[in-house]
Amino acid sequence: MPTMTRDLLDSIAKRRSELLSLAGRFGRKDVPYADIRVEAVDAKSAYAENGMPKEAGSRRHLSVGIRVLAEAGGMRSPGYWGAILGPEEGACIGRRAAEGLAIAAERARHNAKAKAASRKRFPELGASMTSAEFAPAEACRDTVPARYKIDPVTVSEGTVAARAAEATKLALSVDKKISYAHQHLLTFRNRRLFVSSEGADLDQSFAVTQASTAAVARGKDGIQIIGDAIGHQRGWEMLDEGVTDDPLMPIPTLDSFVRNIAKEAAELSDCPQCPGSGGKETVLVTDPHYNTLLVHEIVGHPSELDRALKMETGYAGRSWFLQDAKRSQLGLQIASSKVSAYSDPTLPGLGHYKYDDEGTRARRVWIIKNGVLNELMSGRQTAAALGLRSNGSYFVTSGAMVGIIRMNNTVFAGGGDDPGKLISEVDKGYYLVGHKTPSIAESRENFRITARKVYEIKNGRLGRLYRNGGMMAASKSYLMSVDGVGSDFRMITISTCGKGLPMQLKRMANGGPTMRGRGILTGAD
Amino acid sequence: MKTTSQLKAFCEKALDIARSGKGVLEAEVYASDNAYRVARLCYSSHIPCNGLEEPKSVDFGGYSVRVVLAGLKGKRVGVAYESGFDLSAVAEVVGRAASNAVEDAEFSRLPRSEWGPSAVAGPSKSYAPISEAELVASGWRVVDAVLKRLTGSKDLARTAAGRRDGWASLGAIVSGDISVRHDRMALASTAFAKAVTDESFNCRAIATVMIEALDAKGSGFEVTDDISSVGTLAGTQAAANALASARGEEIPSDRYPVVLGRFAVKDLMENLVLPSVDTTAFYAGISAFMGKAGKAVAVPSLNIYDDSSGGRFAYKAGLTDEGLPVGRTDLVKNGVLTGLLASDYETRRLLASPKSKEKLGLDPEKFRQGLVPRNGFRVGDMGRRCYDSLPCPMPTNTVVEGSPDSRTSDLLKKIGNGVYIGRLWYTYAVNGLPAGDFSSTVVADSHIVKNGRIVKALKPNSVRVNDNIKTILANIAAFGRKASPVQGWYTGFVLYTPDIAVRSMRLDRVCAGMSE
Repeated sequence: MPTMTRDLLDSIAKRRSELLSLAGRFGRKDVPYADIRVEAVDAKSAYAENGMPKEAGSRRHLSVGIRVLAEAGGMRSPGYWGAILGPEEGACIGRRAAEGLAIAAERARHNAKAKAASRKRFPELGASMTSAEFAPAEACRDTVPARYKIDPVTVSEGTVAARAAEATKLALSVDKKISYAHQHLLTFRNRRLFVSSEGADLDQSFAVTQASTAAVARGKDGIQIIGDAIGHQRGWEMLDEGVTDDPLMPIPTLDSFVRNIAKEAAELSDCPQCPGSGGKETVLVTDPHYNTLLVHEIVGHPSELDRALKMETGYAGRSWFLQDAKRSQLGLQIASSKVSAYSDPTLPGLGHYKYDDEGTRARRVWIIKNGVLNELMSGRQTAAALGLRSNGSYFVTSGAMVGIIRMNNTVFAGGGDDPGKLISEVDKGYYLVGHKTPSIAESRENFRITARKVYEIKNGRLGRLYRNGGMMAASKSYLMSVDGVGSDFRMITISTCGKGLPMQLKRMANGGPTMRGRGILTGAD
Repeated sequence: MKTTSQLKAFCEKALDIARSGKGVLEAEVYASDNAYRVARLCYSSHIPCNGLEEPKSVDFGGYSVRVVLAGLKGKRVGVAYESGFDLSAVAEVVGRAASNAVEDAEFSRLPRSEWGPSAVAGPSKSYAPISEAELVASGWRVVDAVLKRLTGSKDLARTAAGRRDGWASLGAIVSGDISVRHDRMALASTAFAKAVTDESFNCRAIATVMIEALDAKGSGFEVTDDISSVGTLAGTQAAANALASARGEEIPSDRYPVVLGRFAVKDLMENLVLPSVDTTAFYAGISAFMGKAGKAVAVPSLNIYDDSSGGRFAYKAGLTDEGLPVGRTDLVKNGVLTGLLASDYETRRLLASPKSKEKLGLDPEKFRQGLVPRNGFRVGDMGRRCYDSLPCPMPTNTVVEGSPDSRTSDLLKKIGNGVYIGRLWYTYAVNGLPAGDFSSTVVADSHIVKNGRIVKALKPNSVRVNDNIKTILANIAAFGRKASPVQGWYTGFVLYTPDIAVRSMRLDRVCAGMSE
């Protein structure tokens, strides 16, 4: 019910001063830091297959997350607590946060004591276990509204379900070879409060609409599956209007997007398998959509400082950018001088925010500047480990979760080359269009990423179209080989990226221009 | 956490409200209360750290209401989800479910007990909550076990003594977690005579240990239902495996005979095989085994089954999240595709679909025993047994077996000159599941085999596998004797597998770390 939900989102704002005063009780010797995050969400979603609506659902909840630093045994350590609550608990959110603060503090105290004991027990290897510190940060106070024309809260589930079913009907109608199509639609609005014992007091709202489409085509030579997503921080209107007023991240209408996916699946299902380059390097021109996943995997992830500091070793992996605090690629040439890359949450798009989830004001992080590794994405704790200040990259996907370092709008910067010329200058090579599936090395030092389409380039012209091809390369040697960067920069939706435990699935925008470099062309195995 | 009795009482009362809704033909209320505790390991000898980074919890609970109404052409089905357990809100949630109802031509009715014996009356065991001290202590047991094993190594002590910054400069890392998942559920449905309840508990330790200066990486795993002892075994095992993999060498690109360790088999099963033996994949036409029901998909000695009933296995469930009986489903028997992971809805629509014969490769009625819905679980944003999703087929305890079985040393003899691959990472079907092509990196616990013996460690991350899962399954040469449990970073199911020898696998040398 829209009215109730609006109340849910509004109700948590009324608790802002109560929560601020609760956090303000800390900042004392035994618990020197505490923060509280509260989120209210109203989401509508629908799923359809082959023209049939399958599910229309709505989800409304509150979530609370607590982080404290506590001191015991001469050490400071962190402790956390989180819960997802029913809407009826909005009135007692302060009480639940107080309970959470007590539990998180108890965990942090046990943790600090155990750290002190372990450090003493293992003099050889214990010295690196130090008191937890956060880099200093300004305590920001602000209210940031969401941007939308049609409020997701007011959209009925029936409308969402009907739209999803229509989209799959449209996909099936594009070509007889389409044997299956599915459509997932999601539109939501949320409101996030963040308060800390240092006086941070933030209230940020977001509206997001997203569509994920897949089409399966059965051609003469097998089955071809094409799936992709569009999404932006906009209201329900995005599906019918697309996004035309954001030059960096234009989004087509849902119908146009679905039609293209189905058309491509049908076209590729009759194409030959990509032969590959027999393990030899060749010239590869990659389009902005392919580079969206490339920058995500070989620049975005390794520049997340928690990975670089080995905190993700057992999960998402480490980073080839950093060996330890003294030895790293920072300040070194890791790409050709034509390559620059940055992460910028202040830009519009799915990765946009004004403040990160520990209250640090967002700013552009130049990861690679003219081929030199320049800066990694950080939060207050990870920045402190290197004696730096946070650059505002600490993010949670739910109020109840623990923040981790995440890329946001992370891209290869546009260059000055004519994208058409990047192809016409090639005597023999391949043009990789659209990203499909990645398989990336643990420290992101090499990769194999398949493309949706591979065109042969012969004497500067596009030739035969292949399916099931892609690029395999060492990340650094590919980046160093780039000799052309196009002027056709754009950002593209990455609908889901998993990290952390419990797994946090984040939406973001990645992108770049057309680029030309060298790698091994892969084909069918 | 709510008790199962409280959840049951809530579901019964909510069902009374739901079934009396206007035009409601059938109704179902599913409630779950879930507690997730994690102690995340985060030690590094060369970078300031906390040792244990995230002692944390996420608690969540709520319910879903599903209603079936009369439609213009057939039935309409609607669902609504609500966090918390506010009985006064149920009527509104039922109204929302009714207004969300869609005319899904493939929906026939709510799940009911027609597939086997009635659902069990309740959970077999009740589990106590975990104290804050226990949670923190479990994580530190792993860290301490690793540090004890590493500092006890004479090799490491010698290496550290020869380095300017001593032990710290070895680049020792401990990563992973202790995760404790405690789920309680209840389900009341107009299709069942009585409300049913269940309770599941999964406590596991995953440890990864690295010694970066020696290019060493090892893994450890432990699964139990006792948090008071978990951790030491996983930590010790990971440290020992890291030490055994020190100073690894690289190998040239080629095809090699390999022995796959349990973490490697897990990656292949999780990302390639299990998604392909799933009713959903067959319906959509995206399995690697389209048209292969009742036909050979692997060597005749391979058996794969999923046992959702728990028994001697780690993941214990008394019934599915559809309220249906759990049990064993033979997925691959003697190399033949004999069953699929199924939920009630997916089975019904596959049996009814006019295209099923083409998709399965035989008359679906002849494959009915392979489609019994024993794996319908609700997997939401926070994992399994969550109120905020509809049931879908999910593996639980998956067992890989083969015959005849041999000791690992005999497997190595069998391959002669090749590679022992202990752990794979980021395994994806790069050209889509139907093609079967995959790519993956060899990240840890791996060794070079010469004349049937391990002679050297293989440098972690220096080799990428580029091959095809259908080819691999057809080229299994032998199976190890002991099936050990293993679980992934975020996966809900537990795999029991022995080491497996494969005649040939394509390995491509790639640059590792910052070496190039």
